[in-house]
Amino acid sequence: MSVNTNSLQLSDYLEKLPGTTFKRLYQQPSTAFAIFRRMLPHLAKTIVMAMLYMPTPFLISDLEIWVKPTSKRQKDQALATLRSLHIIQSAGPQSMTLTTNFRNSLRLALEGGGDHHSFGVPSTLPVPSDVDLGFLDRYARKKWDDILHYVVNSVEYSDMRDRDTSGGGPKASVKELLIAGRLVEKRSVSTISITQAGFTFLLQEANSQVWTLLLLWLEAADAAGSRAGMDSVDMLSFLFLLASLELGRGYSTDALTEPRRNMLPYLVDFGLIYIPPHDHQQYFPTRLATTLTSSESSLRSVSAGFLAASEGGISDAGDKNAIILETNFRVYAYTSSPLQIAVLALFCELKMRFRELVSGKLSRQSIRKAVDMGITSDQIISYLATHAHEQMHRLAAAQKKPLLPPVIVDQIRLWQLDTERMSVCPGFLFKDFESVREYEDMANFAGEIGVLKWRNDRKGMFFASKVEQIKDFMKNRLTPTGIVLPKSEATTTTTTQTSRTAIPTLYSHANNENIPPNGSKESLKTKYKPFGSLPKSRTLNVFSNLTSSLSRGSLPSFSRTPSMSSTAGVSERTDQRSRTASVASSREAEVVVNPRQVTGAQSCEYWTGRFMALQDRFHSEMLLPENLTTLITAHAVRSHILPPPLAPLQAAAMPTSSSIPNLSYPKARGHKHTSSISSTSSNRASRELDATLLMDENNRARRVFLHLEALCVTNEAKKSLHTWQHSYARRMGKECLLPRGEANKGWVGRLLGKNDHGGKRGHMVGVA
Amino acid sequence: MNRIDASDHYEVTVTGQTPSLLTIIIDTNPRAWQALGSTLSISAALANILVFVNAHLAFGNDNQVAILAAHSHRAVWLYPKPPTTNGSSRNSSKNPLSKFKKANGGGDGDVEMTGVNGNGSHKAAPLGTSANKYPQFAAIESSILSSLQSLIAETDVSDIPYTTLVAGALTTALSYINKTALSFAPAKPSSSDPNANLGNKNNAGNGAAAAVAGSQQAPALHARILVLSVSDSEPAQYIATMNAVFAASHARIPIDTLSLSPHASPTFLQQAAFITGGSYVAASLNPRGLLTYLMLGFLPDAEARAHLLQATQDRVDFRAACFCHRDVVDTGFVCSVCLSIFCEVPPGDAGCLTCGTKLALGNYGNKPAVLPRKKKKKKKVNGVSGREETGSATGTPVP
Repeated sequence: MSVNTNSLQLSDYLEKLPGTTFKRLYQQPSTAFAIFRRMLPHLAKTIVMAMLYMPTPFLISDLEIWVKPTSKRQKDQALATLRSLHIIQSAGPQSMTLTTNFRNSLRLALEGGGDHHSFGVPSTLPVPSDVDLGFLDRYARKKWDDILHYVVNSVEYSDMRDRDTSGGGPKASVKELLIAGRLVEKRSVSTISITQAGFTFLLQEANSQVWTLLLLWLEAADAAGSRAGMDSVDMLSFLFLLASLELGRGYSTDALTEPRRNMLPYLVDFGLIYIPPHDHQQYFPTRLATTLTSSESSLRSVSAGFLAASEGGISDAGDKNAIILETNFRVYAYTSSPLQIAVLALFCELKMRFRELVSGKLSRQSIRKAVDMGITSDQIISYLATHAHEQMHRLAAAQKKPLLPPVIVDQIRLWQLDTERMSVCPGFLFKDFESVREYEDMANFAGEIGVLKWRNDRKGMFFASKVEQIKDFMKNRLTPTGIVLPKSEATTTTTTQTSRTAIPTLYSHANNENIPPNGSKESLKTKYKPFGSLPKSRTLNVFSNLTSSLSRGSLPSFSRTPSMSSTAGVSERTDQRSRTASVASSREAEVVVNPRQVTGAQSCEYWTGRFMALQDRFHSEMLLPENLTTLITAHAVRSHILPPPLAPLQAAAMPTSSSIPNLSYPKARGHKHTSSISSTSSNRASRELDATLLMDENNRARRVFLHLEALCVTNEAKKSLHTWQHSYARRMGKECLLPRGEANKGWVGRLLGKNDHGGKRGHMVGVA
Repeated sequence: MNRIDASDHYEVTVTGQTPSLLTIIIDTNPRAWQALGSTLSISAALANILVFVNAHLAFGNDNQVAILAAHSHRAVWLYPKPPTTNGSSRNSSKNPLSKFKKANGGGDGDVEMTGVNGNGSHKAAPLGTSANKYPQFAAIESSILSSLQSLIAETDVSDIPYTTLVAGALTTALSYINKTALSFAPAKPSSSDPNANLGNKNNAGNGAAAAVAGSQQAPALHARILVLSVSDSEPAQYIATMNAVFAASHARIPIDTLSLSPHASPTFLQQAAFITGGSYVAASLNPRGLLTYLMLGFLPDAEARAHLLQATQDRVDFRAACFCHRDVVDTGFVCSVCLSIFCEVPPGDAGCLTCGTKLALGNYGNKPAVLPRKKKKKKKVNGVSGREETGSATGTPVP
């Protein structure tokens, strides 16, 4: 839930890189090694290692056998990560391999050998006597603390600012970087103030902080472009190289390429490396650099031991793990580091200060103040958790309770909720699916790979934060459609089916409920494009805390068929042909001989006969195995939950009903129709709904009419059908069965949100 | 409990990966490798093992590795090196297994590894490594090669038994794991923690258990043992091996076994894998594919194994060795008091050799008296008699 849109994360940065960049990155073994070590989830590492020396492509089916069925979710997530980092590629329909560069580089890294010098060329010069581990740690710590101080002090200690800047503050270049990265912003010439990103930055772990700053630097270099002679890919490679170096050793600067040597001064400013003032032939990586690719937890546990052992180590030992939080909202911090005290003061009311101890209290005001400054409750909680005192860990372990008192955690969140009620996350809305099953498959898949943010089964829509994996999934998906229809209508070819699968429309502005969706012309245009060209950057904000208003039924849904009114008459014909044809390609030949088509005006008896026949057949649909299960499931559901009022259901069902023989929209292009015949509509999200549809007499009758109407080739036929339909509807007293355009479309249209559609429809009928 | 009161979401933890310690025991019996010689030389095997070790270390920078050689007479540390190296090298100038030496040609420098600290790379030892190898990997590689070299140099050619001291190596590995696990355990267990005190009283194997069990929520260290076996199990070591195995099982340390030789069947290790929940793979059909076996079957640690299906054995050789002659027996006599196993009735007055309990054999060994079968009234059903008539347990086969 935590939204870190403002703070840069390495994974986000890498994901944005194009595939060619990865190819270049993976040319260097240390980079492949570092990405493997740092970026992959555990299972993904295992899979990569299994594939590394495999001579043949790894079959997906084999992988599925290997992974326990209960861990499907983890497997999918692992594969998703691997794909997004361009580590695996598919080698055929159901198998995958490692990408060539990655495989070669990782093999080289494991085996040694080659001539890539990517693990640093050690310097042969004697190490200066004053450079040892303790010195490097002190040096790195001082540099880094200077940077943090600069950020923190921008909050309120503005009186101290002058002293700091004149004193040992960070270099001007670093300051510029902080300002450019909007961690702090310049209010006027002399004052700076921290931004929300700055707070996020402050509350991160040291390791993430370093990465944040480095990524800012990379982006700045990218922006500067070739002018500065910096290549961000090469820079990133160099950073990974630094991470593989050994602490306390000197490395030769001569072996570096020119651009990399130019990077050294900046790295010195960050405190990542140390260059002896009198000796520019060698550089020493500090702990900040060598732990770049370590996982966060290892920094806490293992190296904490090392740090404690080597005195004067980078002070995580001192300033971490020092906070005790009690259930009465009191906070005690065993620290004397001004930096940590300053950070604590951001969200705590500090009351007392002793030597080595500060005590304070969390209060509504203090949290509100922090939230107003842009700190989120999640940041506060995670800061408290990562810096919790050893005693708290021990107590939590002994009592088997959560680390932080639940009362406090909840209260901090509630205090934040007082001020903020929504969280924003950019992403993609998927809707207008072919069938319930398709919707469910995709939504479940999105859930499995962890990008699903919101779903509404009834509306058949879901919202995902990333689209690439889902895109691939849609491409590979070869599943038959949901509700089975009578065979004659249900003939679709798989090919059209898949091409149609790509359609879920991108929804461009969810927050404006009242704007009719056809306002976004682009989305209509892109709708029928082949899948690869799904627009990527269409973002939208979902207000997840406002779901109540979203689910009110007022969210307009797109009409599934874009209006193409001018060619109505023509497409109507192709439409019917394609429906009857069993295979799309050979449809032309079979068109003429279809005896079901109605060419002329027919008598009342004729229509009655056809009506009854069709109605019977639709009725027997209920007995198809799949539909039967739907009914039974729905029945089971209903026995638990009170049956929902019928009226809204029916209302929601209306547009879907019309889509069953999808011919009811004669405006769409022919081949699209073939595929959509067998489909249920987009809105039919839940089984319950299906069941209602299946059971509903009116709906069935309506379907029959739509079907018949579609079979009418000529206007005379249609007219006679409408006459008969009129009398039938009057006799039965059912308004909803009136021919389209004559029914009271006012309330239907409103309720369904198909504003544009209703209008178009009426218009169409008029033309016809 | 968390699930019930729905306090899951209060748990704010940094989800990093738990470090894992892989202890590899390499069976270095020269005779057994000689027998394997045509298919897989020890140098090739060692190269594969080194890649495997590096792969394990690549998973995270706090992953550790420890490598032991189970030699014909003793168990030797290959990595990390014990603090004082054994200088008493016996002269073996005319070593017929000279190819062993060739295998070690790559080792170019020695490293002073101190104590049990697996993470030697932090000690800033002056290494002569190249820029093309990750420093930690280079350190381990040179350490293993040089240790193995000196081990082989010390081996007395004239006195090489056919079997290997696996039990000793297992015990050493367990005590090392215990020591490491303790250093990973959360700081100092407070006195209110009953588990901690319990563990310290026990012996080496159980101590590790306590260290792991003390923090049952999330063990601080996943340890496992991998045995690369090329020789038979020595029945004489049955008791020692089994003690080690049960200690490992108690400490929840899986013992994996990869058996390479087609001529040998490490019965006890098979049982060890079964008891400790490790996996046993017999690669005797194709020992050249060693690396693939290792990478696919043995690289996943406890964390990954939660998601993966491990190789399981369809048949486990559960035969035990008797306490009197150290023979592997199919059926034997078991003392009802101390559960000692004997291949024959102890001589004399049939007292148990272990606990001395006088045991009566009952009427064991008596010929079963053949009693005439009682005539039963057969009930005829529709004129066809029941199947008792045939006198056999199975019915007459019907077409």
